[in-house]
Amino acid sequence: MIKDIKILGVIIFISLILFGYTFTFDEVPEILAQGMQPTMMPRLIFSLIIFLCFFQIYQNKSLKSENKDIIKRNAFITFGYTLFIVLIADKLGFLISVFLFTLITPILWQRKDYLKITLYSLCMTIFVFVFFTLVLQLKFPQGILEDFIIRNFY
Amino acid sequence: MDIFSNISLILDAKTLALILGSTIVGVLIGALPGLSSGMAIALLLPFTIYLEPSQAIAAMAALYCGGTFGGSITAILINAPGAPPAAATAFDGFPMAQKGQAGKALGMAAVSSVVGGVISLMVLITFAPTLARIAYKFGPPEYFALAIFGLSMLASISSKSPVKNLIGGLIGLFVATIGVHLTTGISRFTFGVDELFEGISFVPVLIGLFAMSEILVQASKSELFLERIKFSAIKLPSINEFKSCGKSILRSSGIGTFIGILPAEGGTVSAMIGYNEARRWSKNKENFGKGEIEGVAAPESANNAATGGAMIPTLALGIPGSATTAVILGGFQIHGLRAGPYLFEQQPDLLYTIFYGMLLANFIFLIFGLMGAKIFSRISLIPRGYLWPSVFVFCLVGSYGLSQSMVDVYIMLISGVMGFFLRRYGFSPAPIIMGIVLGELVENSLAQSIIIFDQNIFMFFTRPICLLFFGLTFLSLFYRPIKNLIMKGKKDE
Repeated sequence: MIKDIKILGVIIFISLILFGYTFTFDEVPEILAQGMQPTMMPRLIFSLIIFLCFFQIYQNKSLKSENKDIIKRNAFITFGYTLFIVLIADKLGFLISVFLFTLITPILWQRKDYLKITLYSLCMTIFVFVFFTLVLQLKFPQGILEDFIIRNFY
Repeated sequence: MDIFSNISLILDAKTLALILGSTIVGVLIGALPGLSSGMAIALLLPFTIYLEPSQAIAAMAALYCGGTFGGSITAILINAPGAPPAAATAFDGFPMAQKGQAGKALGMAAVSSVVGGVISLMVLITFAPTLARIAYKFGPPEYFALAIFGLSMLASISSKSPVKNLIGGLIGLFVATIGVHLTTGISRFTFGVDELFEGISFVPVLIGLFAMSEILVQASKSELFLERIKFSAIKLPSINEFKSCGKSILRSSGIGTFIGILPAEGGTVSAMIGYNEARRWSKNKENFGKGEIEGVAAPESANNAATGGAMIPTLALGIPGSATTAVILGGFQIHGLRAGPYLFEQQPDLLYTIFYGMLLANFIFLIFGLMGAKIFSRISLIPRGYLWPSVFVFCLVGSYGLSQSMVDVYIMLISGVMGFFLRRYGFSPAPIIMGIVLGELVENSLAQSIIIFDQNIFMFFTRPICLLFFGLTFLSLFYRPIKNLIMKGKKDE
């Protein structure tokens, strides 16, 4: 298989879809567009991306695809867990999400010093609360802790 | 104007303490991904009401300098630039930290930042009104030409394949088109998400491409238990290493000062161009992107030189040279001051206070940076199982904190996954960032220029500054092929 053909193929495919999507943009009368329709720049960009991808495939035509390291299961687990944390952060609150993330991720990454991990997790959560919420006054979604925090800290 | 006789303006305990405190707070806030010096100054503004105007402005200027330098600390140690201008520092700073040279990278960042900062301040105090008048001549056509010059560097911005760099840059340009189109008001690629109408914020993409993708890279590494302590990580650069970077530092300081002067440009573009020019002229260009110390020195001197540069139009014309100086202008208004040409004639003391405040801030973070480098570099020795989850927490907080929107967190996550796969297939995040930075400028300035020129694009060639930048673009793209052709011709003879 030609080197990089998979990733370049994916980029071409996505670019074609997005190029097609530009046809759904509203039409603008020429007098308002002033010589530059809103579709002009995106279409130019996607055309260039597609052209360059084909050019790269042509350049690589004599190069064989390299065997890349298989992505470790841990990367997928970490990503899945990160996605889960981000999705629940809005409802459960940032502080609980930070606590859960810093508690579980080191274990997923094969650390076994559970007491240290718990301490680290608690310290990170307290740091985020004190520095970002109390000192810098950043308003994070506090989820189920909202009432408690508003009553005691504001 | 006698510069030295006015030093007494800052020689009182309260002003000195304010400058010291603001610089250190600036460095610490600048180091946190997503929290910029602009944000720190905005938070400081309400407290400055109780200060003398000169003290307040000096504190804000010091915070600005400290914040710009602070961004490099996390860029080097954990590949998470604390602020956009530090993005280019991560290209070589992080590989250096991975090789156990975090102290060298941090030490070089501190020294080159100070050199860049001091040079730009000298320019500020000497030529501010003249340079501001030149910057005032920059209209949309000139900005378009400048942006095209910046884009011409995409092919060579990293050591990866030039074609892949160009594809990456175009992906960045596409990201910049998301949102409402400036001249027609048509929304593009917003998919009904209201938060995307104003476009995609640069910071979550930056955090995602650099830090989040690195977390996924680290997660897929198998040697999790081989966390050898690298004591060489806390070594500072040698005198010879400083000397070897001298030319790059001076060149980048000039680039940073000039680009910083241009309204709305600023540190990020300066650092990218400074980095690229250092790579172009370096004897070790093949080492760039793999942990070359010049690759840290150049962007750091450029982005810090841009702080002094950005103050020139801010003070001389009342036009902010960057987002942060726009907040500083807000500080001027709070204190009943009016920046502009008359500031130099009517309130020279204020100008000197700012100059000395920024100068002192540079020396404070030099000491803080060099002394702290040994301490900060120990971060690179923290076991990965603790370090990277902490980095994610900063990614989460930083991307949310900017506009307090969960959409920014999702953008950070998507950018992280995209960055992970693109890096895996040999694409560098640098051109994508460059594309995003310049994307809006390219499209908006082109649209405005077309209106100005009544759709006759050949009018670009009637403007001297445009011609200069187009010439530089031509040289940037074709210098090497032409040189090769000439060399080949000579050999044939």
